[in-house]
Amino acid sequence: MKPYIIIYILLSLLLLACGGGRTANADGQGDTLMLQYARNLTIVDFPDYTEVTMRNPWDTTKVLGKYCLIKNEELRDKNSSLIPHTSSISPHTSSISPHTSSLIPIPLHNAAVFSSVHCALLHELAADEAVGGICDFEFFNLPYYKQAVNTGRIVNLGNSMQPSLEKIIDLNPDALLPSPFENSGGLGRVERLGIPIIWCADYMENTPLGRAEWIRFYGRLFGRAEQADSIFRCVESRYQELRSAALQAKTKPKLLPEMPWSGQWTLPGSGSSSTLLYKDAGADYLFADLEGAGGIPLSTEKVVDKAVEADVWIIKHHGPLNRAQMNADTPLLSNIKARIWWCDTSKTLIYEETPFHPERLLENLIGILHPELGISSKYEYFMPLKTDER
Amino acid sequence: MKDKYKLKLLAVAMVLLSVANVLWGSLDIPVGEVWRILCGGEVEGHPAWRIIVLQGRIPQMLTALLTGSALGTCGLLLQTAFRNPLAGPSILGIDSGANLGVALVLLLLGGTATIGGMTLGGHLLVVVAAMVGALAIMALLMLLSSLLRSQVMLLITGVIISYVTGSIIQLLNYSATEQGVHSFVIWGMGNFASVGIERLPVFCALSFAGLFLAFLLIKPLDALLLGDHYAENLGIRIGRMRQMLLLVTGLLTATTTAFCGPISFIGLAVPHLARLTLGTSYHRTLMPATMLVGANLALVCNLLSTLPRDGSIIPISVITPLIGAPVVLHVILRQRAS
Repeated sequence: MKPYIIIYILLSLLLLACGGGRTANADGQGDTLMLQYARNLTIVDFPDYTEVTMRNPWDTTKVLGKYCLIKNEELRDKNSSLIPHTSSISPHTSSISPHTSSLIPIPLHNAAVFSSVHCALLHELAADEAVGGICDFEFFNLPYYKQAVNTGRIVNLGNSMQPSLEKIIDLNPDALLPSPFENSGGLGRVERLGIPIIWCADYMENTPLGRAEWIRFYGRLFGRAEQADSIFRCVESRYQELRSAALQAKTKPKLLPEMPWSGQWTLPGSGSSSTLLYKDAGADYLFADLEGAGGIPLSTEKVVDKAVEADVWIIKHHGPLNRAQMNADTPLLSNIKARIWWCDTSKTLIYEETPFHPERLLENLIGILHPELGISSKYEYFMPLKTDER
Repeated sequence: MKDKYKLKLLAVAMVLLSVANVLWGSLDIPVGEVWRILCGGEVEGHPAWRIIVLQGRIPQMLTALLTGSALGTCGLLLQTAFRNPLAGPSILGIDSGANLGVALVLLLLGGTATIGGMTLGGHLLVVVAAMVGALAIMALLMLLSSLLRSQVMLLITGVIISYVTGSIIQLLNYSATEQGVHSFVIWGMGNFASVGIERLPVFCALSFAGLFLAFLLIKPLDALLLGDHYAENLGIRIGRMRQMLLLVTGLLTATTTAFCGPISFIGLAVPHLARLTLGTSYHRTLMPATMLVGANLALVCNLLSTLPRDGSIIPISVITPLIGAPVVLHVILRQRAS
């Protein structure tokens, strides 16, 4: 082989390797951001704007939303025709049409964010000044937002399923960030206000890192792309590091999650992100073969038959937990001898923090399942149920 | 066939269904092994089976049996007292009081409450809240019944109470967490598995007390069939009778709803099934028949709830209307024809 051919091949390989996780998209104008884990999100960076396409998680042949994030407001005012596929600025931003994009001027300065999970992320990105309104304030545990609503800096928009139309009009946000639900019928009259609706469908990702990767999208919305990319890199690297450490463990403790309520025991199915997290934590999840991606309700006796083999039992519970009371409520549980670790969801920020920081939960779980690895967790969502509580 | 034989047949059916409820569950345990467990033996390799049969299936069977009897009896008492074939335990709003109590603790307080320095949670708190809610509505109805002379007015009051409690529950639901709403919905589907062996004596004592008191009402109820004036001429004190009736139906509805959640249609349909079986309206035979039919129906529903073989269960409140609705439809059509 001639030397210049070898040099050419080597140079080509070098250029490919230096691509930084980006590839030119089909029309050759934009760079597709390589999302390794998120399945429902595509981000293409063009010189003057970013195009984001969300796949409909419930019908993957359809699009849930398509957004053009305009980085430069002046450019948008001058010539919006630069943006491909943007036939109109659709007021119905929940439109399933793949050919209609919503123009989103970024960074957002006055957003209405519907869930505390995303508010927690924005706080981490130091973008909470850009939050103008929130929903379901009664269930916010985040101190900053509690104070901001109490002082009137942030508006409480009411129930996330049916926010106050008048308060939204008064707030005049630059975007609404609700969580979509299958066949929910959208946000009704709110959709006709002409305010862009950005569906936060991250919770429908079926892997912990898949959901966490949406940080990169939210970062771009609030002008914090670099910080968001950096946070995700840290999340990913720590997660993979922990996962590799858990793989070294010589034992695989049998894991039982959750507890029954009113005769039903809802367990994560094999396709859920919780099941993957348990696997990555080096656990032998007792119901890993349960078909389904969400929570699967089983009868208590069906679960107990297998649960007697469990070594570790993790329970998320709102308020104090007491073993004697658990046994009195459901006597079948008295036969389960596993060590119980429980998380008081009324006192910890497990729901707010772990969706975008699965590595924290993984670290906590590995600490519980494999104390021999010596991984001490800073994040102690789960605590052992004390002897007197048993 | 004489009523006595029909009652015996119903009793035999109840025994058979009770046995079937112990043998059959959502987990496949061979009949021989269940028998071995019942005889005090152990099953090697399956340590959980013993506790599933003894502490799971037997209390569940007894709960279903008593709940069916109690709700059927409530329906019979109310249908006779109000001379309304569509009256049932829910018509007076007592079960909606239980619903409200549970909604308050699950949706407003998040499932835990501190009462007198003691923190309650889990199913115990739900039972206490449902009982308090149901008994509060019962006390209100008893107070109103001494003020309202007309039974129809009392009936309307019960319906209004249901609406008011329903709207409060909706309001609580509207502003509750996803978890809270889920817990409340699951509780609202009814379940005979909630009464564990520790709470079974309390449940049985309250149910038997209510059923015993119902037996004491047989004579006045028969007299009521002939009309209020005739009953008064026979020495029945209508006002006192009404108070007693509220007490019995209130106690039975509060107990069953508190321990098992709201179970629809059994109270409404069972008295009609009993009447169809016996062809009589006299309570001396109709009441025991109602208790037996109620027990049998609840045991059948409990068996049907374990039909899916993948380990899941069908909620009781999904099954009861499927059986109860045709009966109610039959009654309505028969009334229309007559």
